[in-house]
Amino acid sequence: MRMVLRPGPDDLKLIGYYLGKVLLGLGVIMLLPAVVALIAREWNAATAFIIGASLCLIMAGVSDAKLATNRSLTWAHGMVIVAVAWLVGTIFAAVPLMLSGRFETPLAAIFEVMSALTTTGMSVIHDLDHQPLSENFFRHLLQFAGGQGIIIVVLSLFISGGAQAGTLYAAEARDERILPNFIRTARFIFAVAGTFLVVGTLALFGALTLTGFTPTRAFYHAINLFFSTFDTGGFSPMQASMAYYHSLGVELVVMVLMIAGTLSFGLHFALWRGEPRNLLRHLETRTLAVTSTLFFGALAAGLILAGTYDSAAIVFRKGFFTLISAVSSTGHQVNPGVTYLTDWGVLAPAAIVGAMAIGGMASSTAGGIKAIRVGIAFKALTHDIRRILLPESAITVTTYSTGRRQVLRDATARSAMTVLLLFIVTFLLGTVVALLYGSYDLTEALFEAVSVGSNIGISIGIVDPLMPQGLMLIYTVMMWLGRLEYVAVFALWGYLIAIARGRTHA
Amino acid sequence: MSAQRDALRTFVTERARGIIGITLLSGAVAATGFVLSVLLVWLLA
Repeated sequence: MRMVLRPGPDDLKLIGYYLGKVLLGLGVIMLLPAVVALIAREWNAATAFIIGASLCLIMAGVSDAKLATNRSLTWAHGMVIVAVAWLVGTIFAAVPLMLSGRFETPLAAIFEVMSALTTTGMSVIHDLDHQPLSENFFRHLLQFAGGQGIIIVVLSLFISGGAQAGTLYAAEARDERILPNFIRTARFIFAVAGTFLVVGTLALFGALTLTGFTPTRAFYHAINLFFSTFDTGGFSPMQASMAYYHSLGVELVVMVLMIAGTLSFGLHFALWRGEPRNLLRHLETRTLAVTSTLFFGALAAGLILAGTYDSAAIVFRKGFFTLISAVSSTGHQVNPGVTYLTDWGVLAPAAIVGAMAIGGMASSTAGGIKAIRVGIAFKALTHDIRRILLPESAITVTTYSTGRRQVLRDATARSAMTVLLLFIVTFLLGTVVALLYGSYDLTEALFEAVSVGSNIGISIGIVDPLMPQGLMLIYTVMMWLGRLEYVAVFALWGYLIAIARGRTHA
Repeated sequence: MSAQRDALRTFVTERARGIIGITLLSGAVAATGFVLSVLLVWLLA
């Protein structure tokens, strides 16, 4: 067995240098809610944001002065930077929330930020409906930054080297290279988000104005809802989530944005180029279409058989919205979480759990196992069955489309199955930990674990400001693992072992 | 000037295709969901 090399001071310096860049980005992001706080005359919140931003910018300045280096990033560096950046970034971004006094403990503020950055969308805040405007804006802005990929945000602004950027881009679970250059890919992602930002915010503004909101209030809600919806985050400015608005128009616009958010940026690119056929042929589109149809069939049947709703219009409005919210991993709710337990029977919540587990498309802002992995796992299974049934001399080749025709290889199938299995193990562990507290039944524990582990955010009621701190910590780690799809976190673990036990020279 | 006009046309066309494509896709998805709801209510209610 080959012994790994212990990372040297130069490696740690390089990692520290890039972490400084991430904090620089975060500091700049924090200045936006500070401006909102000043405009809204929320002096306490403004002070908290200025303190938070100053801490980030000071750390970034120190890192730039002391750790600047021209060394190139290796894949190991990239993975470690991304895994650590999501932890360090979360802690620094939680500072203004810790200072707000609206969280029971510092861990609750960290949970809230991890939930925001990973676009999970569960909240442990006290009295959300009376939260200062700037703090609420900050929560939604973090979902936008996290959904776009906080590292991508930073690298496209502050890092010029394409190769360096590529390492970080892939480590952040964004492995689809749409354009030949990573910086151009990151900028395309921003162009898509920017376009939808304008159109989506305007559409939401119109729908909210028709509901009776004043223009200022409509704009505030529209921009926040856009941030949390397009990036499949699921935060809402109000505690009741989408149910607060009682508006079919708002729900329809939100549904379009959720679908846009769950579509991979590669497929957005195909649409922009006028090649919709690529969208329809793609294995991921087909997998999502088949699984979503099956899950919606089960969900609707469950609601009808349980006698929850008896009109097609309500089954569609409540059930279909919830399904799209689950599949897209957004987590917006049109009814209180407890109703899934008390009113929705057994089949409908089970269908939601299945849809949440699969989640959306790879290389989108959605979470979950991802439809491409489920599609590949299914292809691998049918490939094996065909190989058993056909004569031994027959050569079986299985292909699938990801824009172009690909041959299914063992390594691809193994990689998809491994991540799929890791997600399932995480869901089960999260369920067992919740059950150990003795306060939740199996349905609640499984529902919440899948929702947290897949970064969805639909809550059945376990996550609340007074939930057990140990479970809150476990859920925080699950959100981190789910967002980075394990690889970067395992690389960090390996790196820590190498620091402790690696050889000092080759 | 012509190059600028072409660039602007591409800019607008690409974004319009993206928005229209997603809207049509969402419409198709929602229509499927509604038809399924009607069918299931008719079959099971």
